[in-house]
Amino acid sequence: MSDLTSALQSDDELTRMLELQWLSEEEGAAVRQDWLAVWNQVPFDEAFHQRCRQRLERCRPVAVGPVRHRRLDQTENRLTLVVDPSVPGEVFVSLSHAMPSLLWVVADNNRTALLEALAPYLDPERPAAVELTGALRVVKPLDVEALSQLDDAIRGLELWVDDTSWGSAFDDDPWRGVEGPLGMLDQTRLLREAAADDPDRFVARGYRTLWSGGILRIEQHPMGMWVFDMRYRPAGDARVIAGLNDLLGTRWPEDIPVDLAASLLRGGVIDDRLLAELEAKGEAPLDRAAARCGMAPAETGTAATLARIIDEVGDDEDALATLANLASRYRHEALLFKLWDKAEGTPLADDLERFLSPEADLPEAP
Amino acid sequence: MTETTLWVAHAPVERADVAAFADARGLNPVGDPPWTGGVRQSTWANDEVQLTFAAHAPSGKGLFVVAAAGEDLAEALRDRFSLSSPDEVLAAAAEAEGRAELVASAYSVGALLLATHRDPQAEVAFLCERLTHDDRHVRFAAARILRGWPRPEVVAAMRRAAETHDEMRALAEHLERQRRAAEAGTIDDHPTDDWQELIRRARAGLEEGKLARIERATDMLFEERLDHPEGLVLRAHFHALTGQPMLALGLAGAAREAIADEAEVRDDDDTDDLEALTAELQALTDDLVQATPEEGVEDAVRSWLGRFDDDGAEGEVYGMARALLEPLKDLRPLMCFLSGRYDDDVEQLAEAVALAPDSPSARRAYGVALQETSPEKAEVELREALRLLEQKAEPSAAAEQIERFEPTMHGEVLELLTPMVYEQQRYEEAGELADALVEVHPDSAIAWQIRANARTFSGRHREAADLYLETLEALDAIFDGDGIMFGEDPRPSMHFNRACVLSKIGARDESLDELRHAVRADAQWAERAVEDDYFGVLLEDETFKRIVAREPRALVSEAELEEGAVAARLERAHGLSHRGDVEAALEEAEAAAQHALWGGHDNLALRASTLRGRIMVLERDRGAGLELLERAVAGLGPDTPPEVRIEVVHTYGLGLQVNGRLDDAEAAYQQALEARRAHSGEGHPLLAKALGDLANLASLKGDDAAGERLRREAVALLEAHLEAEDEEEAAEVRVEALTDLATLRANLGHLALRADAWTAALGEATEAVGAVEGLLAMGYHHGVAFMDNLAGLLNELTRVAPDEPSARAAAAVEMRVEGIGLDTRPEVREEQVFWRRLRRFVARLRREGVSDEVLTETFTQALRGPEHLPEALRAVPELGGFAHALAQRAAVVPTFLILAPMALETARADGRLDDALEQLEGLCLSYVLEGLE
Repeated sequence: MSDLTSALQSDDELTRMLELQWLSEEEGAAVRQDWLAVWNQVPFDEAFHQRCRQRLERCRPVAVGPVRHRRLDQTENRLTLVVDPSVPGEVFVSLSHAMPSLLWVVADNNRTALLEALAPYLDPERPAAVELTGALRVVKPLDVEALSQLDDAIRGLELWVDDTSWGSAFDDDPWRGVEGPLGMLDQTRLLREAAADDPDRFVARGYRTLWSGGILRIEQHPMGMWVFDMRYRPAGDARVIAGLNDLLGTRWPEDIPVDLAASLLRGGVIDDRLLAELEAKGEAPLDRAAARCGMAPAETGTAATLARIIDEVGDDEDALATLANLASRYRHEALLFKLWDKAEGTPLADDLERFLSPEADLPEAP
Repeated sequence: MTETTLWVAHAPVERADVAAFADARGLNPVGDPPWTGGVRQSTWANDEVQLTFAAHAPSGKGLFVVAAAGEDLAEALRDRFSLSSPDEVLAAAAEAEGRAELVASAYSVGALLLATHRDPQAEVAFLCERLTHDDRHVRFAAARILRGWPRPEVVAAMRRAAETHDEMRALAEHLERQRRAAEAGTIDDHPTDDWQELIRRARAGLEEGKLARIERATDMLFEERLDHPEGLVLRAHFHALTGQPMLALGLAGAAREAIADEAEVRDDDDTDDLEALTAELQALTDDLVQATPEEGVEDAVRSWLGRFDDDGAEGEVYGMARALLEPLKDLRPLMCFLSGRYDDDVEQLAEAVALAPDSPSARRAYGVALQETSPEKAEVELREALRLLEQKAEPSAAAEQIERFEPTMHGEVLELLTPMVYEQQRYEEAGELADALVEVHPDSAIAWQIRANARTFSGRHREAADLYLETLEALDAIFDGDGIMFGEDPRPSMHFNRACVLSKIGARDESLDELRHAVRADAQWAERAVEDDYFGVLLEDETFKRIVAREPRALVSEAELEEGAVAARLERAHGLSHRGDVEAALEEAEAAAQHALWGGHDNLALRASTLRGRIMVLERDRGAGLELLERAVAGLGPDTPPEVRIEVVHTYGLGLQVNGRLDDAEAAYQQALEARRAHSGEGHPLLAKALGDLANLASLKGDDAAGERLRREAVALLEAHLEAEDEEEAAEVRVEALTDLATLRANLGHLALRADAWTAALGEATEAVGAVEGLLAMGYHHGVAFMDNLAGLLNELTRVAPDEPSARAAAAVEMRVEGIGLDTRPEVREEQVFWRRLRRFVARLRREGVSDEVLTETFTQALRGPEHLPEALRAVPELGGFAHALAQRAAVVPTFLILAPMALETARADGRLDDALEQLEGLCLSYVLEGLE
């Protein structure tokens, strides 16, 4: 028994509650080796990768607990208690062997603290989207052409995200209430139904995390913008999230569960605070416009911002054309008229006149 | 009482502020869908109140809708967010001046149209006025806002605007169409292939009296499924209600057949809905029977009949024709023909012929119907059909009805007549008819057979012998071509018949050769030969006796036993083995071994047995393989040529090794090595094989250093040889060299990995992949077992890589192995990799002795879901994830859902799991490729 975990290990009630199996030194070392082997294959920014690897190398897995499986391909995610000799008095919890070690849940080395820290992750209930009170919506400018690439990355690398996803036609998770392992027939039917898209919405895919039950919805927006819209039950991992914010320069809300935060790690992030800062400085008007539209589509504030940016760019035809594209994609029709008026005498004005004409885009007569 | 209040925000509103307002008043979020068509809406509610906030992108405004008893909440909202009522918005819009304000105010008014709880009369009227504004920006804005509103006043206003402003014309016409569609109830009936939805729409249309909905919905339904019972019933209603009683009757008849077909595939206690439909039809048609035919119904009926016919809905054609037999007198010839031909109704067809005596099709159908009961009359009719076709006279109106629908070709009648005449044993006539038939239908297997057989039975044996050759050639083209052929292959019978006539004309050797062909294909011909008097002169012939006794030796021709033929067979077996076609290679090797023995070619026999043993040891049953090799070794003699001896002894060593007899294996390899050195000299590439195998043995015994030394020696030898590039060298020597080089490199990779020399291990593995790719370029493959091994090595290298860049490097090489021989397009490759991995898994289990029967059963259980597998198997990815992997494919490939279980079921019945997997892979790949096009 290790000094670092002797209190926990001798707590039979805790062991029973979390269905823990305590590992010998050799067993823990073997788990660590497996994790290192997996971590080698998970691509990340080099500095971040190295930091996570360093923690993996010095940590010691001490117990394994409950398992959550992906519903369809049954990929296993096992909860594992870990100690880091450089941080005595604390115990860490890995929710998946594929999750970065800097996202391990952390708690003081006692039953109460540990159970409190894990509570958001052990609740098996899958709430409806409207019941998830936490929200984060960020814009990510990614060098990705198709949603399928992100989908592949999630399926291949983010094993703590369930593989039952859904298309843009759904306001909420259609897999709620679908019980049990599924045969081919049921899977086929549900996969087809859940893939439905709404032609009036941006191409999107929704996912649910296995542990916290949070929802991640990825939307494809114009100008290479991707929107990650997250809904969650608040978790208590402020220390972990704050640590990541310090390391990465991000400003994620500290109540976001770690298994949702993990999906934010790749690529840049534009959140509402960064956007506000850019707007205050008046920099990068077109990027601001695109990000604002992605962040808050249709919102009244967005329309007002776009109107201001139209004024800001003056007579710059290229900029006006870009703004016209944005306004068109996001259906800000009144602003298109503003642009038409402003661009009078230019080819853009002719294009807008054709686009806004009563004859435009009418379906052919049968 | 609940009141609903609508407010418009004239300043930007943050959704979070609305959420906070709602939360403070005890309202819970109940709906928060994402941006949809320019609108973002959220709803909060409790038991008494509902609050909705919608951001409307076109106007840039926010709208609040409050449904509550009393005005408190609405007023509180107004106070909090600076809101305007609809009247205030309209008043402000009326005061607007200048282009920008006019357009903005039009959109503000337009935002009010979003609220669905009220009739926006005032707003619509306001915008309609703007349609004729002097400023086209303002006109355009009003038009765009109103384009989705086909209300009568909007249509009228748009029409008026179009009189003075041409750009409004197209929109005015569109709105007019939309208005009509709204009145017809079809405005929201967007295209769909959802049958249930289409039936629902058609039913709703019938109930609401919106007949256009029925027509539109059933039109869409029939694109997907023409024989839908309820669809046909509803369409019958439509025609009945729109003054087309004959069409209604006809479709009701078709519907009855569709119902009957559907009932056949249902359980007896699952037909309530069909009974209800039948009752509905009865009620409908009772009213229609006495109706007068509508104008122009003939063309419409023909069109429906043609559509059913093209779709293969024969029952529906029959049903419609039957229903219209009495009412549609003008089309009676056609109706008699169609209803008669469905089930060979002699009476109906007799009437069709009576009404249209110059219709070849009626005559043909009548002839077919008479075949069983009156063959002579049948022939008369068919001959009359032929005569009419040859005559090519102008048809009567009645005949034209029938011929327009279903013309008959000369060949069709011949196809019916020829076997009929043949079965009546009028062979001369049958032969002439068959001659004519093969001219027009060269793919008619029966025509060719009758053609030759008829000569036989006419006593024209020499002619028959020649015609059988032509027949066999034609049948080869028919049966080995791209099409699917049903029924038994008649070629063995043709060989038999040719044997008969050749025997008759005294061509003994040729006759016996043909008989061999027949008996090899089907044992029944051996028995038949003994009983057939055509073989009278051969009954005492020893060779004949042995052939009919099916002695294996007798069934092989002399030509097949010649050394060249046996050697070629052995070559083929080697080639098949290198290409990874294990079953075919074993079959050829076995045949080569047997033929070599019979032909007295001892060395070829040894080589063939050795090849058999090698394949068995590596791919099938190691014990049985070793036995074969032991027999081969026992067959070595002092006159055995060195090459053969080396091959046999070396392969024996391999067999011993695989069976765990390492010391014996070492002795065999050493023996082969020394013999090779003595025969070929130092530096010959074939030395590498023995060196490599000795190295494997050393590793197995734990002497890695010796293993490495030997392998490096072999690698150096092979690389020197390959670099020399001798153009005269036989391809197979180079193939062997590349194969051995790949194996050696892979084994060196394993050694290095064991010694924790990761980088060196990756280097060796990469070289091995290069050698395999070299083989591929020559059109050859390494064996499945080796590729499995190499993939495993690279997978391990990736897993234990010291850092991420190394892991990526190893993964890149692993991808090359995965993709060997596969398509370069990522989507296709991904699919191929999935099936390749599955087949490798199957091959691995086979080598471990798991039978195909067990494999197929396991996959079938896995298809139903992992819970149907034993727990230990659920963790095996290929099995635990099988249902999911196939479901992903079935979600994209419509027929996969049915074909996958069917293919496995067939594999379970006939034991051909490989064929089943190949078929499923082909289906999935075809969809991937179609998607790429």
